[in-house]
Amino acid sequence: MEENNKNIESIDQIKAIMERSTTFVSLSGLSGILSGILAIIGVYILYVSFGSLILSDDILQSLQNEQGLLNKLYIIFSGIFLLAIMFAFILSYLKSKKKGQKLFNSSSKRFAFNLFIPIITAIFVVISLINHHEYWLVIPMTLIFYGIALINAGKYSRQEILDLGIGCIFSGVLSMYFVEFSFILWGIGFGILNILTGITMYYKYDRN
Amino acid sequence: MKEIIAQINKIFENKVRLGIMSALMVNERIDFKELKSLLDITDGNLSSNASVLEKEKYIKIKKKFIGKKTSTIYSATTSGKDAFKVHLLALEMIIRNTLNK
Repeated sequence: MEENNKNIESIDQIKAIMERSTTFVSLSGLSGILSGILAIIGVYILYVSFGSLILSDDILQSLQNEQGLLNKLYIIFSGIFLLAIMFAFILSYLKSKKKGQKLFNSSSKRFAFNLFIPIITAIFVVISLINHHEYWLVIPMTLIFYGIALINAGKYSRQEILDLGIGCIFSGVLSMYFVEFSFILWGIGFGILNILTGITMYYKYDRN
Repeated sequence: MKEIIAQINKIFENKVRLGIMSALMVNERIDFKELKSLLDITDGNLSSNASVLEKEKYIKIKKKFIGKKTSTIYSATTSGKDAFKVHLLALEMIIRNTLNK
């Protein structure tokens, strides 16, 4: 039995090292909550700009003629995107520092690499859609690519990231078929689901 | 049971070597610094155990120069991975056998 305990201990050690060396654990739950709040502010800005949460054909039509409004939204949402990334980076840096780990190790690099390939692809897709006046596809594409990015990178982090990815893809696909509810679905995917995931991760992993 | 015990690899019975192999099973390559912090051991402990594994041809050790600094990169060989899998299987069988008794 003595011998057996030693063997079980070995297996436990193997499992722990394999997990620790491949899982990006410093991703901050708090940053998920903050980016969710930023997304909801984004939806609120859309609501104020268009006076409605329903994305009607009239709104889509008006965007073609109102270059000024389009530019304004372009800048605001680029800002939201950059802020969300900045928060994720800074808060994860603080979390890893608190744990006495380096932010850049092979698991976090792998996580970032796999996350940013779909995200950078999405940037090019969205710019092209706007240039071709296909505004209705912008929201579904950002949701779908964000979901793909999370699923792609989630393999190297927590299960919650994969779940959030699936949720975002689902909202994205829905918003392609129910275009009028795009703003709301965007708020659900980037906003509410992000916040819920952030809260779950915060309570599960970050609190101590 | 004796046959199974014979499959236990003496080389992997050391905790540090077991750790190095575990990390290299799931990572294509890892550098010295990261492996050291992952296993939470001293420089000397890591290099001496890594060279034991290298002697058995279970891992490859490559030194790269980045400017003036050297960086040591570890990776598992195919035979190392196979040997580790056999060792794992043996561990599992022994545990199962004892639990069934």
